[in-house]
Amino acid sequence: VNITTPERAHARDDLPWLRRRTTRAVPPGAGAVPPAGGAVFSSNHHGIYPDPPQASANSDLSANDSMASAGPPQPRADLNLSANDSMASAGPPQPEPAIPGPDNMDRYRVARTRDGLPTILTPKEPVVTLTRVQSGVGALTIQAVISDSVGDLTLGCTYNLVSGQSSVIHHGSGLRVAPAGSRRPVIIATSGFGELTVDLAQNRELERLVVIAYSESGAALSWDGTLVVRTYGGARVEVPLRRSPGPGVLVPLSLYNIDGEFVLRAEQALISGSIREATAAFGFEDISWLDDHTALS
Amino acid sequence: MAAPMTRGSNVALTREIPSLRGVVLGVKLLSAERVLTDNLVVATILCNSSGKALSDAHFVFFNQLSSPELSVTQLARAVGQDIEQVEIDLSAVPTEVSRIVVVTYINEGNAARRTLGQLREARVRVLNLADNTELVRSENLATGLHNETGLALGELYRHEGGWKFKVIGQGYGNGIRALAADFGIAL
Repeated sequence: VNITTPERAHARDDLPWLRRRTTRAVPPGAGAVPPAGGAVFSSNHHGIYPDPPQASANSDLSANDSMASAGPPQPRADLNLSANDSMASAGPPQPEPAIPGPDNMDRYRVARTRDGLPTILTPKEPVVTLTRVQSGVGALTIQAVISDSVGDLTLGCTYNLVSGQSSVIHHGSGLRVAPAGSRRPVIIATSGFGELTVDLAQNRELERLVVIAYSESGAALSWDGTLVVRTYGGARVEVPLRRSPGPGVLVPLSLYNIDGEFVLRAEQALISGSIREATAAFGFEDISWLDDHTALS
Repeated sequence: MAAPMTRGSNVALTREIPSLRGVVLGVKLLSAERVLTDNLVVATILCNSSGKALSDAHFVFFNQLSSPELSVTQLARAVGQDIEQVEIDLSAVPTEVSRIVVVTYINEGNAARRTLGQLREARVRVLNLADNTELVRSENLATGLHNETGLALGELYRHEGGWKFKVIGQGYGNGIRALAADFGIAL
């Protein structure tokens, strides 16, 4: 980014209180500005929180790496800070990248759902990010679609709310809504094998949600079937539940609210132990427990 | 103060006030039914000349407080008597935007179904962004609503190089789904 020419800098749509300070007209189609919190996961972050949107692996500070003409960073072994490559004077011209314009902004391509096709999350491509509209309109439903041969699989979730409240809900327990006892729940665990619905009018209340699947009776399950997440508009995200048969608590999916965009990530954790241990493995530490499978409130 | 504007009536804002640079659309929705008011969402849609949203990013609501070029911004917290306020910098509105429509709908989340027929009051007003003075306000659009779950309140639109404001007051039976279909928003 060439910070020496503010008029060429991109508008910050994540900072609305600065909007009066944009002095130039943005040309039509300049929507290439990545959305605020255009969630980006990198492998070195254990998938917990995304990198800041502007984080760049490119250490080249030369002037011709401006956002307007930016291509993929030219691989360079050295950090070239020599005088003729300073920010004030343009460095030696580099070959124009073959890829044109706005696409180059998207160095970190955010995976989105597709029209008419389900998005299947796999170990290789475990993450999809819902748009602000998908994350904010109607309700999000999370459902385990399984056959009877699996056993008595029950779906639940553990959550952090922005308010600081954190607990576990599942249909088999007395705790079926989040926050507990709420007149206006953010999350509800409904009946059947278990279905979770998130009220997206309250998406600002939700920080993260981690889905858990387990046997109500503590039996070993023949893990199979699919976890299906549906947006209000009908986009589907699917996570295979197939694992080797056995006991334990499966964590198939996590959901992080990254500045208004829901980032769904397939987790690969089958934790041999209780719900308490499974939630602890995902860093839920502010939960008081009645027993290994039931939160206090 | 002038008489409230009725459904379908319009006013030439920039012709009446040539110095007008920006406006605030203030929306007031009142009901005794808390389940209803909890789930009311106000949204502003930037439309092209065919009446379709330019993109999903041009659907401005609580989870997307600004349009990409920052011309339309919903306040996180409205000031005064409105439940929501949307600030519009008229000169920053992209040229391909012909209409800016403000709507409300009942979000179908976890709550029991409600309808806009339970609203006691629904109105939209226009303030001058520069000094917060009220320029016009609509009549109460709640009258005549029954089973609707969506409502187009009013719109700003380009006319002869300036901007006019029109009260719409049209209800929709299928909430945001119907509004999204009408204005070309991919949910």
